[in-house]
Amino acid sequence: MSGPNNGVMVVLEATAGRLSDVSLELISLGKDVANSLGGPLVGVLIGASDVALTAVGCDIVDCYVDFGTIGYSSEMAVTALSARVEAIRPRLLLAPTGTLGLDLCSALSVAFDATLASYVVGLSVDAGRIQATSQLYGGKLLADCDLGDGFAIACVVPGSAVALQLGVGDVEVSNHSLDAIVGSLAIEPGIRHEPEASGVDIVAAELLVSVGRGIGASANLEVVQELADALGVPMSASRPVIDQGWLPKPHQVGKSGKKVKPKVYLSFGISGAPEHLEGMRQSEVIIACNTDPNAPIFKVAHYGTTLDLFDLVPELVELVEG
Amino acid sequence: MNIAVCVKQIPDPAAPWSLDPSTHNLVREGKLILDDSDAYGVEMALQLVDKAGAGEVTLVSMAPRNETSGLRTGLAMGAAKAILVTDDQLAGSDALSTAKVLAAAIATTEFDLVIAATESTDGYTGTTPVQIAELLGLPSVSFAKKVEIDGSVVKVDRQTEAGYDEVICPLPALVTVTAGVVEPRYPSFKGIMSAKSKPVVTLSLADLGLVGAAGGAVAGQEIVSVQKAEARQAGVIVEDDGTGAQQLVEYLEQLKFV
Repeated sequence: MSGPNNGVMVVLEATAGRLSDVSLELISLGKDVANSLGGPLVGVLIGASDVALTAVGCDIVDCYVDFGTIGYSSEMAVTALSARVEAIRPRLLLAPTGTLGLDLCSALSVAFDATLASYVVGLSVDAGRIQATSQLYGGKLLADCDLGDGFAIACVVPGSAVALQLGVGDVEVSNHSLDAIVGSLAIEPGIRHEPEASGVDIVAAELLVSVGRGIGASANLEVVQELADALGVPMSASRPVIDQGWLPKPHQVGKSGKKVKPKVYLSFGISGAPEHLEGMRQSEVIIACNTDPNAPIFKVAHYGTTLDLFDLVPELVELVEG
Repeated sequence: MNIAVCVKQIPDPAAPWSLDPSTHNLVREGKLILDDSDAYGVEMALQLVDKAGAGEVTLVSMAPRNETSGLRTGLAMGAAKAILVTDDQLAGSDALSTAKVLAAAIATTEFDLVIAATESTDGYTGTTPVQIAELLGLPSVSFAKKVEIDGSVVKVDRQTEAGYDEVICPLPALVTVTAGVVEPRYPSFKGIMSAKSKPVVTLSLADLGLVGAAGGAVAGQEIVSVQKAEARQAGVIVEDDGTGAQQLVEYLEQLKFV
């Protein structure tokens, strides 16, 4: 096995016929690093069949297009990506911090004895050396790490870079089949359930109405949903709401959810655990409503009220609709 | 059904902490506690063993200074024993080093299943559990929100960004659980008393044959600098005179959201 060349490989995900936002962010980050290193940018698309790849900003895209239809097996994803790493020998692999990316990064770091940087929010190259900036301790600290001389992997936090604007350009697309892999798996691909195909994109919203544990019960969500509807914006939530199954995962803001930076983040009943603040602290304006005056969310909020959300929200709905 | 549960003992998240300016390592003084995220894994393991009708839960942890106070919490919940790896050379370990140590410690006990939290509350990387699985040559399923043992397989509902996957995985395997997979029990008084006499096996890097293979000295990446993330100034809390809602809507109107 020869040493790595100067290429950068990015893991791409796609749903509903388009690359995900974080994929475009990874391309944007990866392109800068690849340019600095003087190597190619290679995309590996895992999981969709009908994405236009003519201008995605990569030099090469390897597609495992049947991934989405076969179902999920981390082993299958790892085996497929390992084959591409083996073939290309990139210097750096970028994957999103998420349920797929964490599986891939963890397994490949062991398989290739690679240096692994987690929760990466920035990358730079100086004289051929790659440096990653990672969030530590719930985003309270930022650490700059030198990723060493060999193959390195960076698991990148969604929302860390500006998504690449798709332009025009040639890309060498090659399709790979998973057939050869599927037969030899210990973990057979399982059935995927994706009930939430509503196209809710909380990352793209300029105003978010967000709820937390303070909502108390699933039935109470309606109160806040009415406000979100009146404003015509999506509803997001902190982890307790998602863990309880009151809202689906795509609505989650925070460390293990999405990182958002809307113009206004309007939060109701969110106390502001560090994991949550990490996902929304870059919002331009944060408005918090929580009955506990000592809730940590007030440390980052620009405006705050300790009014009961069940008093405030209906009044807001009335005023907005009025 | 024997289950090994990886648990982390962490400084109380509510307590103040600091970084060593020269080594960039977290200064962990004072008593460590069981990471809240790990209580879910311990509870899940106890329930699976209960259901199987036989077997036991073993806690596996790596911590400085023979720290066992967090382990005692897990033992008080009902785990049978604990394995603690403690060694001065482990200071400054990165995620892969930690995975090597925990994998070697897990290998010293009998298990059908390894359970870990998807990520620890402090200094998390979220990568250690799957790295452990790779090192042990085990199939792994991450982000489990529902776990069931069915004969020789574990059936998992795996949380994803969009929904969930149904995954069936042969045992032995490693599963990482999300918070909310089960409701952790509070240790009973009896549990707390009996935990004091439950066995805790302490191992060093030499015991695991990992001297020079794991620890701060062999970390793959070098931390060049650490700085505090930009803290946002606290905003103004306005006393509400009954017009709070009105003010808020006017504000949103200015921004043309209404």
